[in-house]
Amino acid sequence: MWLTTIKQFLTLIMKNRFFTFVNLFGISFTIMLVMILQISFESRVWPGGPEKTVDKMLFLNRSVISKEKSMRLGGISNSVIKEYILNMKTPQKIGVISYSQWTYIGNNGVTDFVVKGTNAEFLSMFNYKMLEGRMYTKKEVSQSKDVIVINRKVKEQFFGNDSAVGKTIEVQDKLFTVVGVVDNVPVNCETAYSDIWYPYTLFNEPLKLFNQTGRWGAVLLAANKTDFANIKEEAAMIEKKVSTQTDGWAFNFGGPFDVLDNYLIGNVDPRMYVGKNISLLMLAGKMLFILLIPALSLIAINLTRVQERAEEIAVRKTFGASSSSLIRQILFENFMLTLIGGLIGLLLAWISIRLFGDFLFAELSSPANGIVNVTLSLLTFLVCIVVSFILSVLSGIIPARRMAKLKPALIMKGGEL
Amino acid sequence: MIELKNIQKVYRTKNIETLALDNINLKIKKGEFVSIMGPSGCGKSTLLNIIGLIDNPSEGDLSVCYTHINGQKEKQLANFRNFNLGFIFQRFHLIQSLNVIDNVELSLMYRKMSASERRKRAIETLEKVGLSHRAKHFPAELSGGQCQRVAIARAIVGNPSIILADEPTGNLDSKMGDEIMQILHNLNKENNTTIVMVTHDEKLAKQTDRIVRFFDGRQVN
Ligand SMILES: Nc1ncnc2c1ncn2[C@@H]1O[C@H](COP(=O)(O)OP(=O)(O)OP(=O)(O)O)[C@@H](O)[C@H]1O
Ligand SMILES: [Mg+2]
Repeated sequence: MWLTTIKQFLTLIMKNRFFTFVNLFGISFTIMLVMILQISFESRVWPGGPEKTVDKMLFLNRSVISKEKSMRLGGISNSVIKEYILNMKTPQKIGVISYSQWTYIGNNGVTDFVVKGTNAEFLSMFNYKMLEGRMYTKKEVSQSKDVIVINRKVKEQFFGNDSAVGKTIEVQDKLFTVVGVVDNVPVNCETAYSDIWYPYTLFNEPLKLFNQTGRWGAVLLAANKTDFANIKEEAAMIEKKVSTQTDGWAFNFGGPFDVLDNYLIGNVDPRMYVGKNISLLMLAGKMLFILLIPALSLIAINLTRVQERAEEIAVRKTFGASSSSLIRQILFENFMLTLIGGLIGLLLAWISIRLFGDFLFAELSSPANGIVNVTLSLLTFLVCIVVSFILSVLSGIIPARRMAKLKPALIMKGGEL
Repeated sequence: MIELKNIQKVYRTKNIETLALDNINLKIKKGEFVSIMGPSGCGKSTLLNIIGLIDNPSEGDLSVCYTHINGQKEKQLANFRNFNLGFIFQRFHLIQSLNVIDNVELSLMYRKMSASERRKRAIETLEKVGLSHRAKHFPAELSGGQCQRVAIARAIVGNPSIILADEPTGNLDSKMGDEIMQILHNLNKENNTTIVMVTHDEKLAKQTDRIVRFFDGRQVN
C-alpha cells in the first residue's frame, strides 16, 4: 500500500511541477526559520568544541540579594566566591571566573578583548586546544604570578607569526608573561570563551560585603550527573549561611543551573524562572507559532488540489476506500512532501547559519572572532522531522477531510458531466 | 441477488426538486445479465449508483447480495463495495497518476493481502483482458478501448459477484464495443457474475438476458 502510495506521490509531484515548487518553497522556507531557531538554540546550549563536557556542569553566575522592596541582581561577589564557593565539597572541580574587559588602543585602532581571571581548575575543565606552551598552574595561581594564556587572535595581533611563549604583554598597566597560546574559542562557547586568561588572584580587589553583588561566576563540574542534587543542596546551604551575614538581606543564587536551565533562564530574575519543562514548551510554542501562518497558505494551496484530485478520490471510494483510509493516504502524501521540504529547509538553515552565523550570534560576545561552532546533531534531525510532521498535519488535515467527504456519486455519472 | 422495493430518489437543489427515481421495484437474480435502457436523464445512472451503494435512495428498501443496506456505516459500505461490487464507467475513470497494473490493483489495496499476491492477481486479470503487455503504461498512453479493458480488469480483479456497468461501450467504436461486450458475456457465463449494464445500444441490449426500460424516473414495460 505505502509503496504504491509513494510511487503515485512521485508521479504526482513530477506531473504537477508548479504546484510542487510552490508548495516546497513555502515549506522549506518555513522550516528553515524554525531550524535556524533550533540550531542556534542547540549550539548555544551544547556548543561542543572546548565545552564538550557541559552536560556535567552546573553554573553559578548570579546573585539575587533582596530586602523588603529592594533587590540587587548581578554577578557573584568575590567574598562569596572566596569564602564559600571555592570551599565547596560536592563538586569534582570548581572553576571560578572574574569577568572583565580590556580595551586596547593600538596602531590599528581600538580592540576590545574579553579577559577572564580564573583558577587553574577552570582551565582544566574545558577542552582547549593548546597551540603553544601550557596553562598556568595551581601553584602560579596561589602565588599570584603575572602569567597569562592568550588565544590565537591575541597572539597574532601582538606577535604575528612568532612564538609568544615567554614574551610579555602589558594589560591594564601590568606586565604579563605569556605561558601558553590556545586556539580561538567559538563565540557560542560562552563560558569557555576568552581572549586572555589570567590567575584570578592577580588583581587584589577589596572584598565586598555579603549583601553586594559582584562580577564573578563559578562552574561546578560534577563527577556524575547524579551528584547534581548534592551540589544544589550544598549551594542552598551556602545561601542560608551567607544570608546570616548580610545585615537582613536575603541571599540567593537562583541556581546552580545546568546548561539547559542556564540558557533558558535568559536574563530574567532567576526566582521568576518557571523551570525547564515550561520554558521548553514555550520555545516549542514559538516554533509552532512560526508554522501557523504558512500552514494557512499551504491549506489554501492544498484545497485547490482537492478539486483536481476529485476524480481519483471518487474512484478510490467507489472501489472500497473508506474515508479514514483516504485521510491517511492524503496525510501521508502530504507528510512526504513536507519532509522533503523540511530537509531542504534544514539544509538552507545550515547554509545560512554558516554564512550569517556571526550575525545570529552577535549578541553573544562583543568582540566576536567570527567562529561559531555549529554541528548538525541527531536532535536537529529529529526536530526537523517532528516539525515537518506537525506542519504536514496542520496543512493537510483540513484538505484531507474535505477530500474524504467527496460523494463519489457526483462524479461517477455515466454520461457527460 | 439484487432487490429494490419502492425505491425513490429525489435530488434537492436550492429551488428545484428532481424526482430521479419514482417508486422502483426491481429484482435481479444471481447470474442474470440485465440491460437498463431509457432516454437521457431518465435516472439510469442514478439507479446504478444506488445499487452500487455510492448514492443512497431517498426512500425505499434495498438489498444487494442478499444483504439489507439500510443504515449501514460508511466504512461498512466501503468494505461491502470492495468485496461484492465491480464498477465500469463510460468515461473509464482510471487514475491518471497510477500505471495500468496499479490501477488494476486498486480494490485489492483496500483488502488485507500481500503485495505479491495482489500483483499476481492483477497480472492474471490483465491477461484475461489481453493487456498484460501494457502493465507499466499510464492511462494517458492507451487507446479508449484499452482503457476500458483496464477498467474491466480493475472491476473484476477482486472477484465481485455483481458488475455494474454504466454505458461501458458509450465512448468506443462498435468494434471495440463488441470486444468489451464479449468480455462481459464471458464473465457472465464462466463466473456466473451478475451484470447490470446501462446502454443506449438496442443491439447490445438484445444480447442480454433481460431489458429493463425507464422513462422519466419510472420503470416501463
Ligand atoms: N446531483 C444531482 N443533483 C440534481 N439533479 C441530479 C443530480 N444527478 C442527477 N440529477 C438529475 O436526475 C435525473 C437522472 O439523472 P441520471 O444521471 O440518472 O440520468 P441518466 O438516465 O443516467 O442519463 P444519461 O443517459 O444522460 O446518462 C436527471 O434529470 C438529472 O438532471
Ligand atoms: Mg447516465
